[in-house]
Amino acid sequence: MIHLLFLVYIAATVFPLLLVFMVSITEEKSLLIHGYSILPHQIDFSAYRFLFQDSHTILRAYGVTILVTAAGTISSLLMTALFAYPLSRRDFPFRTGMTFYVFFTMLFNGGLVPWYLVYTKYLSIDNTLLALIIPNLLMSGFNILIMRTFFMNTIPPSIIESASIDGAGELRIFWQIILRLSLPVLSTIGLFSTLAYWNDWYNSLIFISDAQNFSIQYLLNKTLLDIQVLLSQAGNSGQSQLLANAPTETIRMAMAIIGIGPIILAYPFFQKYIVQGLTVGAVKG
Amino acid sequence: MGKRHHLVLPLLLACSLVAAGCGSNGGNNNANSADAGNSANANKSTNASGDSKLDPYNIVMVFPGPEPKDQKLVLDEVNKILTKKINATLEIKSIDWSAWGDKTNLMFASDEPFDLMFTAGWFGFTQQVAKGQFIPLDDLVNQYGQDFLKTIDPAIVDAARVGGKLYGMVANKEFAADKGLILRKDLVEKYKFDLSQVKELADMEPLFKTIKENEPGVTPFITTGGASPSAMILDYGYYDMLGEGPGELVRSGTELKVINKIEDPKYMEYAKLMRKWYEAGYINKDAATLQDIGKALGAGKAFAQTGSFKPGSNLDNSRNQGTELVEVQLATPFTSTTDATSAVLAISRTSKDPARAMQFVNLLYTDKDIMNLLINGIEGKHYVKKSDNVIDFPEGVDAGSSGYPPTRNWMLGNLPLVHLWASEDPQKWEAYAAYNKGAEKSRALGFAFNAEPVKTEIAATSNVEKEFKNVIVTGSVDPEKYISEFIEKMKAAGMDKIIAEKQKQLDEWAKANQ
Repeated sequence: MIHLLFLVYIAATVFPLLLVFMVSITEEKSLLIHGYSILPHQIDFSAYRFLFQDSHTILRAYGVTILVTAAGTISSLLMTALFAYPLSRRDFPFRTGMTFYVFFTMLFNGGLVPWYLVYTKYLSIDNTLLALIIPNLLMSGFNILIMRTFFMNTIPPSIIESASIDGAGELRIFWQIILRLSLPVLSTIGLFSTLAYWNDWYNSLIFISDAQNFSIQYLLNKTLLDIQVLLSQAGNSGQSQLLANAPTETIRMAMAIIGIGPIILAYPFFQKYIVQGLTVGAVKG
Repeated sequence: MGKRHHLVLPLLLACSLVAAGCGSNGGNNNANSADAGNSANANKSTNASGDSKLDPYNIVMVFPGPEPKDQKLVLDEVNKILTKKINATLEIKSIDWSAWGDKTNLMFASDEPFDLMFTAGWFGFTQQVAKGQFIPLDDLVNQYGQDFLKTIDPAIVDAARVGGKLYGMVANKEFAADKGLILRKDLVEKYKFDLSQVKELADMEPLFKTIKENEPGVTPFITTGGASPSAMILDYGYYDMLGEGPGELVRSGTELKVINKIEDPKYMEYAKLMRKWYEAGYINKDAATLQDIGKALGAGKAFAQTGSFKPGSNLDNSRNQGTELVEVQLATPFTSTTDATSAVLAISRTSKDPARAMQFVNLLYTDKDIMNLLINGIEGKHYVKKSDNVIDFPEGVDAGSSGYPPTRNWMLGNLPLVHLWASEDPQKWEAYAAYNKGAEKSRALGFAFNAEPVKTEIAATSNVEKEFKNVIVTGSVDPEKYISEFIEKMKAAGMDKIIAEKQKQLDEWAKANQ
């Protein structure tokens, strides 16, 4: 019974994905006549051919996303761990204050305009790859608290004590003992932030105006949104002309398939640890 | 114990320093501050000695749409001319259509310096004016914009006035639109339809019936909420929409009375007609939810759809759809404020040198070379001359693969200055001029509604519209029952207050323009 339930669930999850793929390889005209169908009436790869004609833009955006995801995940993990570890130590003097500070950011933020001003006027990172790494994504209060709870519950203070008696300094304890014992939580948070970086398009929208630095998700997203914006402005003379240049349905689907890309491969890699990491972090001792 | 926290703070500090350091290498900063310095000087000189000796200035123009691949090459050419003429350079900042709202608001909020911005009656012109983001141009136009004033009909120039002051310069192109239906020519000929008999939407019924009975697999009339006859033909064709929110003016008649179109008999008439056709199966069943008709006519899936026309639109549409089409006019050419302001350049309040920006815009109305570069690109690279005034793509290039496709050919300047494409009507601009002249001008042409005082009500009513509009105008529900409910909910959302505000502003406008 339970198997049947999950089989249905799997089918419900896989079906849309499969449909998108099938539409992307359907011939444009037969799509217009017959509508979406899981078995294309006429198979045709011209959507992909069209996309790879302009492969420079897509490959470039792919490169940006991969670079940002890798650099972002690593620095995000490192900073989260560096922040969470002291908060987990009962002998850290500013523990309550700092924890509250983290917690506070989960509830309140400064609003869009001040947030934008800080990054563009004071840090001046707009139009650079840093704008895709730092705002919103680098640190998250939620991740810090999960990691802190994990450290507190799974690493007995006596290990730290005995290491320092053996002469290990704080950095060495952190690097060689704490991090090695925390693989489950690291891979959980790592997956969270890999996904967040991979899927992010908002930072590109706000901070990037140079098409060279667009991420792949933004490239896909804007193609779809541009059409929607133009459609919602009925009765202007440029509309029909602009829409005529818009990519066709099959091309949009092919772009979605390309956008999913390698991120799907990240799941099995992290899966081993993810459940363990989440539950251990959630249960308070 | 106490020494442990030493680890955290220095690390955090170090990280933030690294971040800040990398940022300032970006180079943007330097460029901006250099601009600001230059323009401060430029300002002085333009004010002091007219245009005898101008300091160099970089004009930044913010424009929607993706950036063409070869934009830099084109701008280099433009700048050669601009430097000679007004000692300025042009930089175009492209913002995607979808990012436009967010990005421009943030640019204004952070006082980012730029000079010119594309805007339009359908694209937030009056809202930005109401927020004080554009500067009034009356003095500047009189001083530097003589060629603009000479080119455009004064009644159209005034369409970009808000509260008596001029805030934008419209592009010279068509200022009106006529509305109707687009039909497939092959089917019209096959069944020998006499289109001269079609005067009203209702006259299409026998045609749709014939198609339904004889052409299985072809939808007689494909439509969506946004492309329904009510939205496409009545709005802007039968009513003047008077800007955002409910409250319309009936095109015929003489008085300036703001009505509520959903209580108007014409609205009900169209809704009932659509209901009848929907039940008869003449209309696609997914009309209320369908977003985009796409090329359904070209694919042979449908016979008719609604359309907005101007001279040459049938040629364009036929080419896009890949099949021959015919147009049936149901509303004659009509000029409302929205039509007249469908492409406008405005000067930002953050401009460092509005005078120079205006000089540049003026050049767009006289200088053939600049206009041809900006619209069509570089000769020999993006187009080749077929004859004196007619151009085409070079061998092996088309609109899709060109590094500078002419997608901006309706957005700025004096468009009759640019070369015509071989695929276009050689008499295009003559046709446009005659069309503009012959179009009926709305009694409220030049009136722009400031929606700020009733912003909340407009948001509330547009939520109600989302629920009702599409299903009613596509005939998906019974209008008798739903329109009264629609009206009731619109009233609860504050529709009457918006209409009263519109009437008040319209009366004030009429008094000021007597």
